[in-house]
Amino acid sequence: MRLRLPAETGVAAVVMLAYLWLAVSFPTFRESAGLAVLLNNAAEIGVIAAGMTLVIATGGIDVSVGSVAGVSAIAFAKLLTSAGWGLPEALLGCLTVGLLCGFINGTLIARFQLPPIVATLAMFAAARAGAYVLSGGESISDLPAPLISFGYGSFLGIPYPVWPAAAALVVCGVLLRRTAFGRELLALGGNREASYLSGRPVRRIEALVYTLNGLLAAVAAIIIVARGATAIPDAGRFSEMTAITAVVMGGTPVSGGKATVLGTALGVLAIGLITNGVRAYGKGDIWVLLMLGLALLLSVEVDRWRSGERRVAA
Amino acid sequence: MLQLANSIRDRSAWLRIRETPAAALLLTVVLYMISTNPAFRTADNLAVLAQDAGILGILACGEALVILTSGIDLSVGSSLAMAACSAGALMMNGVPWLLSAIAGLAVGFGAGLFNGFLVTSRRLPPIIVTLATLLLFRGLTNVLTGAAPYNLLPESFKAIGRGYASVTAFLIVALMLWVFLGRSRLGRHLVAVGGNETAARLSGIPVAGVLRRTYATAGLCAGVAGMIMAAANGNAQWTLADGWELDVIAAVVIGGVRLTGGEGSVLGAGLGALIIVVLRNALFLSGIPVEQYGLVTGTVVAIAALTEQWRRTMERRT
Amino acid sequence: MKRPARLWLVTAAVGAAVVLGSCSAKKAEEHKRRIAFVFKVDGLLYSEVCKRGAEQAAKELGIRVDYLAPDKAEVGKQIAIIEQLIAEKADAIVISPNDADAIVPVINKAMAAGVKVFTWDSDAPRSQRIFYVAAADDVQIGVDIAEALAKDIGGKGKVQIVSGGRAAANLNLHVQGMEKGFAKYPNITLVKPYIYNDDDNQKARSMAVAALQKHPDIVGFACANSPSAPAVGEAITNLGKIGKVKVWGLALPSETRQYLKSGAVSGLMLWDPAKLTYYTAKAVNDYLDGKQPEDGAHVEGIGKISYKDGVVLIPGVTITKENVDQFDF
Repeated sequence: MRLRLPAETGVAAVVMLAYLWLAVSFPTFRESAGLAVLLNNAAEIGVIAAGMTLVIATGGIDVSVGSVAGVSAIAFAKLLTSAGWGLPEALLGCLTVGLLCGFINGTLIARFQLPPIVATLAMFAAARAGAYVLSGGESISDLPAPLISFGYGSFLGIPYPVWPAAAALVVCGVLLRRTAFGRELLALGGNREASYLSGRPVRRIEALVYTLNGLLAAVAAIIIVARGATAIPDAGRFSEMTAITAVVMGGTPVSGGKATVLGTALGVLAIGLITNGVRAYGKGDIWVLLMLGLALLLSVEVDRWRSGERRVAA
Repeated sequence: MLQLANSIRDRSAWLRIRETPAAALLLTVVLYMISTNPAFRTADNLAVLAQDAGILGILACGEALVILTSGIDLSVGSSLAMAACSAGALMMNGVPWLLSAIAGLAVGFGAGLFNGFLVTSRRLPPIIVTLATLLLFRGLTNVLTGAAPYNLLPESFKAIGRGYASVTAFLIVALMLWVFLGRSRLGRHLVAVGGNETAARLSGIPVAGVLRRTYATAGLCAGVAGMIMAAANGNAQWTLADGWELDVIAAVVIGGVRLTGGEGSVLGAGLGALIIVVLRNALFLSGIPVEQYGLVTGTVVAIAALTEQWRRTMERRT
Repeated sequence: MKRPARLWLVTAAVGAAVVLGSCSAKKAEEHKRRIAFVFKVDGLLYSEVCKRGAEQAAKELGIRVDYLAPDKAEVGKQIAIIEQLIAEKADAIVISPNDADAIVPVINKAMAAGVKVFTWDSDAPRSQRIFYVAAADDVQIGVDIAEALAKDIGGKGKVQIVSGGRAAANLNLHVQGMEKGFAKYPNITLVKPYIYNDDDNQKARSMAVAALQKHPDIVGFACANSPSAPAVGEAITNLGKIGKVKVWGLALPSETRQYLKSGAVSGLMLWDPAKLTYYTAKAVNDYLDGKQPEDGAHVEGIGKISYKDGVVLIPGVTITKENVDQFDF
């Protein structure tokens, strides 16, 4: 009788091993200050990865989130500075920009049936360019103090940015497991044609998941701006790849039909451990990219082993 | 003869050729630029245009092969840099340029083979594999070269980077791959695997071997493009072609190649690459800052994809 | 396995790891002094050369010298790195910030936590950093480059200024210096806008080509950051304008040598980044031992240094095709 291990096994093992290794080697990883930094860095990826899990569950992908975060960040900062808006209004503006970009993605994919990689590729290029157009290529500082302190402070001992990240992960997890929306997403990923032929409102649901992703990208943008104390047009660059890495590491298959937000959360932690671990060793961030590539391959390999697909290809 | 004449006149036949929209777009943009912007026509500009077209074109042709098998290769830019730096390092250490270039090609080929191995014997999804190798190859190149520029390259090597040489190489590669796809058994197998992998396997096609060779070919193309790029820049550094992977895929999409595999052509990918390069040049000359090109590229990709959808709907109706 | 069980298993495993990790034997770690350099971006050759200096200092002084940098030139990532260093209780942090103002809160936070902060290569003057080490006055080097270029182009024509990140203090001071230098030549016009290529090699190259195609009558480029002069040199070579367009800038001789030799680039003004970093590490180490830098002191292997108003300057060097082969950076 074979024990079927859960999908999160691989990434949980990585997190445990990495954490143990680092905790033994460096005192920071045992202290609350160090853990706070770790979680803070992971927050922005956590937000994006949460939405990405849902997208990948439908068998799709969204490579535009980084660019959407960028253009939302610039819009946010512009509203605060040039337009002189108050913080709450600017926040809404930022979220709207993200929502809009996500909606365009959703329309292209659900309504016009473009392959997700194509539609989000186009948005990837256009949104980034949009960020440059809006900002004139300049970075925007002079942001209001409450925003900056959001990037630095903490609530109940946990840094502020972690709260929206945790919320995003929990919400997406609940959506996936306990709502009809989530069930439809998984059905879509399992068998696209059948879903579309079934007469259920699949189009709407597919459009919705990309729209949600755009919204979450904007939330991430707020965190990025607060932490960096500036909004740069390049904000969020490469975060889509990091998010996809986290989702895949967590055990969600790229083909869709199955998903685990818990796995994604662990994947985000793993990436945070790798990043902070490399820095603790005093190495430059290029090593982080290298390690991420290895971690990705390793986790997919482990997942193969776990699910018993060890037959060699025909 | 009459049949040929009739079929040329037959409008629905043009619709059936998937490369028509791309060719039409290219023609339009080129004619527009030639007639309205004198800077476009200058020999200098055309030389730079040719250089870029050759490099992106070769990358796009290799990528098209992979996409035809319903796979994807995100690591082409990183493989290019790895190949270029290998060759550059050898050249700077006195190895004759021809040997160095061959070594560079071997590195590209090897990188592709590695991708192919991971995709077939490990059965890992191509998008994840090549995302990982994109990071791995780029990082490895940086660490192994220490960010050093290999910029004392022999003049005879640099000659292959000149505009006309670059374009010639592109045309040769495109032609070879076109013939390969259409005429060789491997080529036919490739398309079959992309169309329906299970059916292909059931009909006796050695799917794993076909896939490995496809990714290896894409890696080889990245190697060729890498040699030309190093020659054109007079420099091989780890950052070469950083971020080009999505441009390459955009070129393939604009050229009408279906991302789900089985349909499309090297010709289309080549046209797509030309369109991107010409558009970029047109935007240069209109004074628009580099970072804003994405608006145009993104829109063109979306429109190309939508057009392809529309074309297939029309095709089904006629 | 049922889903609730799965959740518990994973949570238990992670929880165990955290507990185990926290209780792991607190080894008696011999506390080696730690100086951490944080550069603008990883992967630039200039950065790699700086790293050599840091490594040499570590060996000679017997301390730990780390050299960190983010993968993109973004101040937000530098802030994240510095926060980690604060948590790790590094003895000293030396930064070259991507944004002189955005970095201020985290620098002050570090100083408040007892971590000594210094800047090198690019300053954050409005922060509480203890001192800034550079080679040659940031403004003066801009003036010198402008003068060299002006003489090269005969005192008249269109000049394009090229820089890296808009918020980098050192680069902006170089540009200020260039403007000051060119102001003395009424027949020289500066092309607006200046090019800002964010220290990215690819951008540097494409923007240089774009500039030459947009303004075919440019006769000179003044480059403030290290990727720019070689990138412009390449553009000039590819467009066949060697001799017609002159270039002076701050760049590494190893990245620019073929252009210096071919004449695409006329000359560079720089310093040895390894020496700069090495000296900075030594000065910081001395400071931690209670010794301040001495104005006018002669430092072995470096030359005469000056120390005024929190700024330490070491001598720079001019590089042309005649002496380019002497330099190993």
